[in-house]
Amino acid sequence: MMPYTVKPLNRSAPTLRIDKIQVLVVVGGERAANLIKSIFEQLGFRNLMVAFDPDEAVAMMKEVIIDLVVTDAEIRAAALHTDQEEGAPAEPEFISGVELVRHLRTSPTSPNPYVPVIMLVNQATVKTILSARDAGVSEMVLKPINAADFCMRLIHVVDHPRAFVTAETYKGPCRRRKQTALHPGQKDRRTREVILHRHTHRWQNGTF
Amino acid sequence: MMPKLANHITPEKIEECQRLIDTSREGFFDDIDPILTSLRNMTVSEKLTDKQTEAMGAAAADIQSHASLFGYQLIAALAGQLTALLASPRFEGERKARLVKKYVEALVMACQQRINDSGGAVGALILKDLAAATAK
Repeated sequence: MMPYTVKPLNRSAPTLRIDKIQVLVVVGGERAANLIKSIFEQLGFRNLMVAFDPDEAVAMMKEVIIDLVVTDAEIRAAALHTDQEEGAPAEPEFISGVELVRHLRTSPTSPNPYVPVIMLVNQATVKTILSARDAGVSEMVLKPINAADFCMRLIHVVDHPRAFVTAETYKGPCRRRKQTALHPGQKDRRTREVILHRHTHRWQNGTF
Repeated sequence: MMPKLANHITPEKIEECQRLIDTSREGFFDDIDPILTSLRNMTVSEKLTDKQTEAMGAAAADIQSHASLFGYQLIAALAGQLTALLASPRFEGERKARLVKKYVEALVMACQQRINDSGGAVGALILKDLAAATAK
């Protein structure tokens, strides 16, 4: 007869499985994609996908559950075709990463409106920052790319995700960096449903 | 307590990532040299075929995204405008080939001079000149 053993309960803290986090990198070319992929690999990420245009990115997101998107602010592509009239000629143009994020956040056909997005931006102008923020970008990394800044933004997105706001004029992570009390009579637009979403990132609840 | 990514990303890993970035930056001009050669070779013809246009667009976008990561503004701007020009249905035939050639020549020159910023007043002048040629 086999000796009877009692297996102790595993009470250790849940571990973060970086290797299971699915990252989608959206950039215009192979060389930039390879560099960003190398950075992620160096940090321990293993599930990395690359898209070279927004249409490809959206198509990939419909196939695979993506946990994090890193997109360039400038992407070479034809405009997203969803709003185009049927039969109208496709006019290729430079579309910005901001438009991709806006599409992800607000389009009824979006594969995941809640996905955290880090955007690589060229200039820290007020216009650039406001348009990215209002489109629903989670974090921005200013070019020239720097490892410390990139990692800091990455940690912020994963470890301290902001509550998600769904309002008439905005959909995306809460734009308030500082949590201040509401004014009397002011309504909190962060819904319970989406606040809960913040706590259910796949890599945090051990559902892998 | 939730597990934190901050616990996994050590200063050593960040340093290693920075080394990757620095190595890539240092090798940038040598790395894109073959692409520039192929771009130049394709500008020889008087009219661009669809296949050539597509290949040149991909090459220019590759240079643009790589250069912009390092803040090489002039090269990124030239490559970005070349990408847009190649993709635009506004330009056709010999005129398109002529404009593309101008952009490729400017891009090659900027890379040969290893201009790793906006190029200052000269860079602005080059971009202005090319914009004027495109607007004609």
